[in-house]
Amino acid sequence: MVNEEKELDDYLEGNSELSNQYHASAMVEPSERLNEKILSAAKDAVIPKHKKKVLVHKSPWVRPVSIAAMITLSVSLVVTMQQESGQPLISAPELSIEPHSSTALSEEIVMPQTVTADDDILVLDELELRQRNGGRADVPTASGAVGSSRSESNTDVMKDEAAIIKPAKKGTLKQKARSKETEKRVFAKEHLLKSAPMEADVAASVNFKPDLQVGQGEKSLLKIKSMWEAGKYSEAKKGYQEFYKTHPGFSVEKIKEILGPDLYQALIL
Amino acid sequence: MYRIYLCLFYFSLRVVRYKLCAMGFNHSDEELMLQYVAGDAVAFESLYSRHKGPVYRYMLRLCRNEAVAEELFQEVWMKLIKARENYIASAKFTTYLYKLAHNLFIDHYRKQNVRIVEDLSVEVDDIEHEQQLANNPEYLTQTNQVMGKLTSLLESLPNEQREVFLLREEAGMTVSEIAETVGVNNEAAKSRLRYAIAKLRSGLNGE
Repeated sequence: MVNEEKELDDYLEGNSELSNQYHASAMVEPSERLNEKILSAAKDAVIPKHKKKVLVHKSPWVRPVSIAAMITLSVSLVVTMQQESGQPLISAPELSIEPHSSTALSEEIVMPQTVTADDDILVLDELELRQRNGGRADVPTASGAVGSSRSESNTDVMKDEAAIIKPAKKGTLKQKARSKETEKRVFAKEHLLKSAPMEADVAASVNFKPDLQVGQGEKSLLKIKSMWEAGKYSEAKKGYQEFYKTHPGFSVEKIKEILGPDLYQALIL
Repeated sequence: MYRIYLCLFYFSLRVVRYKLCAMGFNHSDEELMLQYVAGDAVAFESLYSRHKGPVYRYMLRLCRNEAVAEELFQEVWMKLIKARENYIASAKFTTYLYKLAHNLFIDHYRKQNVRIVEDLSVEVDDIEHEQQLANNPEYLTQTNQVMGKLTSLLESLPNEQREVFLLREEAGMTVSEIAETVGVNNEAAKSRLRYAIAKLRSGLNGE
């Protein structure tokens, strides 16, 4: 017993032959498969599992539809950008100032009608009536009285309008309203042609055709210039006269810039 | 010039130290386990690489069956992973781990209706039987071919004695730690260990 105790003490102290022999024997290890299994389980337990990826099965129509959508979007974007920049999508046909078409030009180009103060007032009345009637297009307006600036298709409607509006003009209520809002109207008249929506309304009411697009005047002038350079002096002069009639608001500086001061003088004379 | 070399040497030392720290070399088992509980999977790898061999050998020599040993070994680690939140660092990690292994071993043999002798006083017959086996040259020859004499002697020991010996050798536990792991008092653990050593020595000496 004493011997066994001594052996145990020696063994526990680490001075044992038994321990050395034990550790010298084959040291087996767990298999790699087992290691991987346990380590992967440990990782899965700690690291939150990623959400299962939703597999999108690509249909055969996805690609063409996406391409079509892309093209539609890009085209619409280009159109919108061009419209916003003020450039026409399709270039307007050049004004032909050839002798045979000069008459046609004078027929085609409608002179912008001079808007007089009375017309403005009538237009304002018309707008006012529209507002009162909730913007209904079928309601007759006061501007029916301006028969000369109306298209023929609206003649009957204008007559009705005149019939309806006439008693209203006789009434005192309308006159009072006019006298009260004189300043307001004058102010509105100043800004009437400046604001685009209002301008559109006025143009529609007096049948104003804003067919003179941006750049058309320059094109006409360039055409005239080319005609002058080609030696067609009479045609160029005629074309300039037409141009002067159709573009009364075109600045002289601009004309001089395009034609050149010498040609401008020659055409004026 | 030598200053540059010194700087490089110092820098390389720092890198090596950093690498060792990252691999968990200078961390205790308890720290690694807490790191794993906090979500560090690398800490678990370090912990596993430290203990996989001893735990596996403990199971293999306790069960004496490779398939069962593998199953129980896996179960030990899985239980550790699942119950990681319950780990309290106050206990020594080795004790905690081998206690898990011990309990699984006991449960397994209870399920298999294998009698595990709890009391040393009733294992006299078994000891005599094991001694007979250990002294049987035929048995020894067969087992020596595969595992060596000591391993076969170890296998001839009763489960309780073999277990305390394995805990001492594989886990490097003290008598009190063995007692805590196995769930007996210090004296019982010491007694089992004493018996185991005596038998193994006598077997090796050919007595």
